[in-house]
Amino acid sequence: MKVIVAAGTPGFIGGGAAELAFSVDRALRAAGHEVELLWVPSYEDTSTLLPQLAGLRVHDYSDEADHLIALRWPAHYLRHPRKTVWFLHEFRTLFDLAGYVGELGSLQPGDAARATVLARWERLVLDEARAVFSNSQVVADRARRSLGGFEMQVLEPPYPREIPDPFPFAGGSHIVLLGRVAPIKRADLAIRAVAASPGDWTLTIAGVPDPPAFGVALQTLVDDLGVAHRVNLRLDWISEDEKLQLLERSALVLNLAFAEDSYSYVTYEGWAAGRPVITVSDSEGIAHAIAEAGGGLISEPDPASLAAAITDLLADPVSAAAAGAAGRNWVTAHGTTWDDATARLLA
Amino acid sequence: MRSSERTYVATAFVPFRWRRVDAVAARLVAELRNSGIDAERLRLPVTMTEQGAAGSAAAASLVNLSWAHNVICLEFPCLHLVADRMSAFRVRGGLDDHLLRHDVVARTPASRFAPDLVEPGATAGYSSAPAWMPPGLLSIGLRDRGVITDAADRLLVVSLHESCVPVAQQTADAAPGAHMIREHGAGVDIEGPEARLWRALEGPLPGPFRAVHVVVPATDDAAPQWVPELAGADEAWTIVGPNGTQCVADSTGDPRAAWSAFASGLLP
Repeated sequence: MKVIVAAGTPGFIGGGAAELAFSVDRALRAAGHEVELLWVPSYEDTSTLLPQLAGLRVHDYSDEADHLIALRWPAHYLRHPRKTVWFLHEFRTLFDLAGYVGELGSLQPGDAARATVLARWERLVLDEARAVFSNSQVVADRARRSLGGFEMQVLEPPYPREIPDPFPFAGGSHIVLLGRVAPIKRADLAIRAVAASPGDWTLTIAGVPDPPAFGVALQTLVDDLGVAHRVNLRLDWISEDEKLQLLERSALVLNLAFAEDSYSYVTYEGWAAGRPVITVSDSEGIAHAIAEAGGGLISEPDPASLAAAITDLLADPVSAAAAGAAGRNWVTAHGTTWDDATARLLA
Repeated sequence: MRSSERTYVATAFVPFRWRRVDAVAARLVAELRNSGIDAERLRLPVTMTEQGAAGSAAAASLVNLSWAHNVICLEFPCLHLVADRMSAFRVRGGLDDHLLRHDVVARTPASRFAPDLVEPGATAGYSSAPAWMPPGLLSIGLRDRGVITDAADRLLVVSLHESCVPVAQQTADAAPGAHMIREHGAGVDIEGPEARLWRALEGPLPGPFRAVHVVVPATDDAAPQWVPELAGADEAWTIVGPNGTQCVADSTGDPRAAWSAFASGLLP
């Protein structure tokens, strides 16, 4: 079968959505299908949002492919009689992040009206799909609220690659924060937690700054707080090997993203390595997964509370090791396989 | 041009078909990255009916890429994108060929071209076709810029079919230091010889080479036309081998260096 896998992308930066697209591509090819990946430019400017979505509706791939799988927003605006949507999130600026003031910006004049139109369009393009899956219960719940009770089936993505062997838990006092270094991921909160903690634990932040200016801001924050001797900013893309090395020598993993859609790959990778994960109470999908798996701690989203949670877990390596093992068990026993996922996407 | 600048190499999205324009785009991105430039491909959705083409152009004109630093357009409908810094290079066989007769292409504003990047002798603007069509993909700018030189006395021999191996091997054996690539295998016949040559030239080559010889079957009538331009040839000649194979040889420089210069020359 010829399958187009379409996914929105902000361009020039990876992340969980891109990882999922590559995973679907690999899984479909392994199952014997022909696959083309189409990256659809996504955008955050609400003033040009609706015309751009209308432009996407021009395209119908009925003649070119047997099936279209739409992943990250706004790929599901493309047309195909056999279209399956794996919904990762809405246009967040107008929906679940409407009150958030960060890199996505705050609401502009006219956005309330655009949100009303967009909700109607979302229903239109989702209703024409053969099936609509969400990547988490959090996303399904959000969609039910914002799209007039629209129901999605939850299909949590399997681990993107072969699950690596866990690293023996050796304790220590080094922790790591991985992934795209964007304001909404709150690496600055981790740095402030270092400053708020009298302990001697150290922190590595590794990932691509988005936007680049945010990396500069973090460096300034580290200098201003006088914690340069405890914080290593590795602000660049890192290889899988380097990521595994960082996880191996870390006692725990931080994942502090605000209002995350799902458990996030960072949580998954930390747990696969046998490391506990600490998040904060407003991280939504991450907190939900940690509570379900028992794979770490959930702190309040302020520096003092986060510093206390980190200090407590580092001081109790038995509990930390147990949480890491629980997370690992969740990864290996949770969810579905790629064979099953692709079968459901093409059904 | 700073290495932190982000450059899109834009083509249309035409799925499940090998196209030279896609190979060019992939190679451009690789070369730009080799130069330390943050480059990515962008494939624009396109519908290839006349009405669909108009819609595709309109849709592309709604995509605002002003946040990206550079956009290099290789075919329709990429020139309709909104971008602050844009350059264009038309690749023969791209959608511009197909859509030439359509008004939508003729209406593409000529002002959106960077005139110095259009093939010498060509007139900026789609409506002037077919005179603007570059005669050879790699010919643009390379010889004029002095990139192609006799950098080394080495020979690259590319065999594109199992039946060509004896001739290719004989050629390689006769030249000291020659390097031979066998690019054939399962599925290649579906893609055609052009795809195989592209793949051969995309891999790491122990260049530079004085010349590239491409050996193709005699039954491949199109070979003399496409091989020289793909290999960046100044001139080409054809030899029909004793066993029915056809050897197309050309004098050229280092294809990798040529690509690198080609890529950097396209930056706005």
